[in-house]
Amino acid sequence: MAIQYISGKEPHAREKRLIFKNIDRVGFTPSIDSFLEDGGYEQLKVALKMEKSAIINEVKASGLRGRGGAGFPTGVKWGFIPPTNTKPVYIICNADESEPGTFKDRYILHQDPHQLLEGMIIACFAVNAKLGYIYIREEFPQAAIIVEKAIAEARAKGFLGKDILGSGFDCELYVHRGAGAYICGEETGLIESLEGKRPYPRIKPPYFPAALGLYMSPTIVNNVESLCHVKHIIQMGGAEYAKLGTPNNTGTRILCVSGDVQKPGYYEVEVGKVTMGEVIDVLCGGMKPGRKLKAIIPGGSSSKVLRADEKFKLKDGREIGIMDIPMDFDTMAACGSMAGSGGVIIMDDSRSMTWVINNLNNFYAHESCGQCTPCREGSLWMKKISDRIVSGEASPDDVDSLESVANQIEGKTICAFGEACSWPTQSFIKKFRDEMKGDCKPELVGEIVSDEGKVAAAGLAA
Amino acid sequence: MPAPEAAPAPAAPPPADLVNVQIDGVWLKFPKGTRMIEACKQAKKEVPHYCYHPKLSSPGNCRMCLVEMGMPPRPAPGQEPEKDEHGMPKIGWMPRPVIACANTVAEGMGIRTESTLTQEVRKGVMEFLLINHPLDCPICDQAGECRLQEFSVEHGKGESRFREEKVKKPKNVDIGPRVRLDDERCIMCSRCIRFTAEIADAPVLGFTERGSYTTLAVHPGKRLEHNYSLNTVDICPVGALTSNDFRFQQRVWFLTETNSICQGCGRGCNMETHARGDTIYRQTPRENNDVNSNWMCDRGRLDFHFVNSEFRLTDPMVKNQGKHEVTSWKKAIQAVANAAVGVKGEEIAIIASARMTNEELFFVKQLAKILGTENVDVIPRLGEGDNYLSAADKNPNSNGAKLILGSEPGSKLAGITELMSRGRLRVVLALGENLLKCGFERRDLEKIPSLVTLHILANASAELSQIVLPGNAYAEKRGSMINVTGRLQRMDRAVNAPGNARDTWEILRDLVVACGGSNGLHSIEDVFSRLAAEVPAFQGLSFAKIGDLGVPVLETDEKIPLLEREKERKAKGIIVG
Amino acid sequence: MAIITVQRPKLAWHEKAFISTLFKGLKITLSHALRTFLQIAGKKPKVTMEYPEQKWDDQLPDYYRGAPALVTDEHERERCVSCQLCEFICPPKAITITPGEIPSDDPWAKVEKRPKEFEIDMIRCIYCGMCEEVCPEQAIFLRKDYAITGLSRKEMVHDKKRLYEIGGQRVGLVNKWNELK
Repeated sequence: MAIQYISGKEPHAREKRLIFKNIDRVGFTPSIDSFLEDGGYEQLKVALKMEKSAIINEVKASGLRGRGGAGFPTGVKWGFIPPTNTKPVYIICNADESEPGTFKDRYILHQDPHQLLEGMIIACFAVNAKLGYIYIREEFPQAAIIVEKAIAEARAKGFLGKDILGSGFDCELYVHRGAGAYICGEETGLIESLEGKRPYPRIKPPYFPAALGLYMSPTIVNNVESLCHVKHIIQMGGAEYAKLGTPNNTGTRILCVSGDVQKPGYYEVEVGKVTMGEVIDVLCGGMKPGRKLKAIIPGGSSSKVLRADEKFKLKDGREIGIMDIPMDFDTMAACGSMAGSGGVIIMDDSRSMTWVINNLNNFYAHESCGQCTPCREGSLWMKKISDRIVSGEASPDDVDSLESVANQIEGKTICAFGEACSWPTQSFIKKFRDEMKGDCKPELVGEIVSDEGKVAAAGLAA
Repeated sequence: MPAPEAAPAPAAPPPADLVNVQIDGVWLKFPKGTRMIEACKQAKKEVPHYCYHPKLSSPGNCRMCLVEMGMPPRPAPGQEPEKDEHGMPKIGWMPRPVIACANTVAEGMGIRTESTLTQEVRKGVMEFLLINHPLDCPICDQAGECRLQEFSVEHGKGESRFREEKVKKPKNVDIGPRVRLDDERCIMCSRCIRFTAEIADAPVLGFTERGSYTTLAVHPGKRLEHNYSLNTVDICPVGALTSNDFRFQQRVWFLTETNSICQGCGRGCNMETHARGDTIYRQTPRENNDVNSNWMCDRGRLDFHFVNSEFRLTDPMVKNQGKHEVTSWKKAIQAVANAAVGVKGEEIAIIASARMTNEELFFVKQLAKILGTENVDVIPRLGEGDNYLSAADKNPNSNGAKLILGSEPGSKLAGITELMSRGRLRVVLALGENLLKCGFERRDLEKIPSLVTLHILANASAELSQIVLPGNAYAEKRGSMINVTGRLQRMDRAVNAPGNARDTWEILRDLVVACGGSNGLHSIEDVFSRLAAEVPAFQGLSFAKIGDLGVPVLETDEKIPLLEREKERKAKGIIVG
Repeated sequence: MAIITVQRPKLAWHEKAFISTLFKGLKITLSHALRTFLQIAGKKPKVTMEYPEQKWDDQLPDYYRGAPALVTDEHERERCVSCQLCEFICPPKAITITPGEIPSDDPWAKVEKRPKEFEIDMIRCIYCGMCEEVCPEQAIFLRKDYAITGLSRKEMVHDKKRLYEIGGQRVGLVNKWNELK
């Protein structure tokens, strides 16, 4: 079937549509017939004839790094299951896409679910998992229906269930719907939610999912996009796949660009082959007319913000500007941020940085699970301070307090949410300190600002 | 004939699995699998903590026990690790602190409990705990034993820079008949949730809402009302869960603690009696890993109000023409001796109590011998045990009675009742029991010419008696008891008996002397030494040697269900134990 | 150590006979007598306050420590919450408090605690002010009255009613219990 895209949604020439090949494709439906017509489930047949260790080696050779945000090598993660394991192994697909700025997995779930299923069944086969769960966030009700239908279709055709395609391998996949919590995107929080409990992340050590995961059995948690890449790795072979992208940052990734650009949207590019400037000017058609770039959040709201006029010193001694940063994992980390989940948020000079960080703090305060002390108390405190800065009731030392609170949260929490809520605040204050202090009122230093405090002090003699 | 082969030498004992750990610069050895926080405790370095408890699972959520940790870096292949001045591998300190309660020690680990990083981290966590905490110290019962107060003084910042409004949650919530909840004070350590779920098998508590608005609540339709609910008040580090019985009674810094034993049943849970002056305000469990671990049931814990009751007997009384008249001790004792001496042994009965201490029972035995009577028994109390700590035998010293009086408790009661109903008894001594509640008929008791009651409360039995002697209650006694598992334990005097009431053992000693026995025992320690000389099970013991945790003296088949389950969890590594 | 010989001072004949010291002493005595005469005559200010005809009540310094009393605030709420800190800190143990609960239908049920009984034995009280210093609720203050008398020991024990009577109302303090929601 020839590939034709919906008018207006054609991929840009600089894109390399691997995972998103079928998104916005004319005539392509989420049904299994479309997928089979396109040559679907052929890789499953290939994989079922391979040795399980061979599949894992292919994935390792491909250099695939997790696309959920952490960028951890997927093959290495699969290899963590102890060889002496006798407990059942589980694979969980983390379709709880809640990172602000990220919107790639939803298209895979809504428009091309069978790609995910094929990749997931191959992964189940590779780690010998007989049960797989797809955890879909509550805000995607349609996706749950579509994926469940796809699973039923796959089972009807013999790609799921007992003795898949005569290989002797049994596998069942189930969809589990979340209930609206960002913390369910954290792997151990997801596991707790799947077990029916409150999604309190577990302490690691000792509860590493590869050893003590779902029902205290080895569990692999992978992102939707990562599992889709598995199918293509089997198709191309690990070495061939590794040729895509750049060394150590292989393959393709889907960038979700939002903010003050002409054409926000999703773009699948080879990792590291496209720079930030090319993303903004070439892929997205440039900034809005008459506006200048002010800041970029490159990898979902949890990543540190980059100033438009910042200069970054790389390991090899080069100094580059923000437009020259290649969109990969390593360079972005070297520039003091992270590639994360690919949610690129572009902000121009019409945006108040104080307002932006307040918006982020509101999100994190709302989503904190409340298990451990620093994040539970600190996230709400940071929100309250930035609320006051935005509404003009803060003094300049409140900005210093805010930074100090963020420093007190980072590194002291059970899960990475501590870093997720403190990095934005730390980076915004570090890079836009003057602007934030400018929104404060020096005359409020030492004054009582809360209504409660004012009531208590109302009768005080002067 | 070939020479016989020499027997193989016995194998040397395998080296214990110890690891080297450096704590604050000092290298020490600990068994593998020790938690870091326990290792620090053994090294006398207290690590502040809230959610960790040795008998509960460790969730690691309070983050107060964060310490600086380091491990020796793995050397390049073929290279020797760098050594420090003690000859041990040099430690690479991690910039990120780790919790001490859930992590175990490893070979070469280093822990710093007082470094700058640790102090900064503690200040930070302390600050976070205090920002939404209400200003309740003046009205909160936990003041004086509140871990938030203690650690904020030791490890806190000292100044607040929180200018916002605090989060408001329900206060003074009624969650059960004996426990009150205040959600604003709760620091979400989850100790109560883990206790009710893991130990009491009644998971009625849980968190609701999320983030900073997380609120502790009982699940819909449930109440915190099981018999171990007050243990959650003990383990709550702040004043979120408080006891209704102790609410607003007294400040804890006025209370003196005395070691004692619960009298509710034969388990003999170790406890502390808290009193100010001569009033008891509350009782809390004491740790004894052979009897009650750290726990105690509510029924036994709250049974102390009668000690301060207005119905306490305060003076010895003798009935004169149908009315009780207060008299002196000398006259009262003499009256008993006059009534009993010279009477045939078969016409005398002594009904003692298995609530008496071993020392008192010793004198009961002596009195029986002097009066020549075999009609001596204690009242048995068998009820239902639960599957935790409460034993089926509701008398605290049945084993002591059996051992000292020499007969199974209750075995002679039928005979005594028979004699009483036929009017054959002329003198009956009721020591510590209200006979009308023990199955004796009023009309039978009225037949007895000389009924003597030694008791602490004015009850119907004392009403009928010719001579009433006021003894002392358990909290006023110093003595020993043997629990159902055969353990000899000690109790101490917490408060003084009211009025002219005297120590029961001294009254019994004076009775023995008045009836013809010999004097010579003036202190409990002497009494116990005499006991130890006569009872083989107490061989080699003295009152001091019993110690605060008791000693096993009898072999029994009794197993303590709660302790068995704790042993299982300790074996699985879930708890430290 | 060297031995230093100390010379006796050489005294003049009038010093040996104590005549000069006599005159020195007399001079001081006479000057005091003169001063007293002048005070009586009204020419010099008197140093003795003739109590009780003269009192210095209106000249008491701000920091003067009189009898302790409990205060109410602007809303007529009894400020004391019977935290018993003053009972603890009181050096002669003059304060006895029985804490009690505020019933839930009371308008101030939020405060939860109120003293059932509060007694200060004024015979024991040493007017040190520790109770005022330690009070976390700004409920007990030392007033300026110092003439606390009674005809019996019982009279000298001030109970709660009397303490609030003496204390009266005090405004200008932190009202941390005032409701916001």
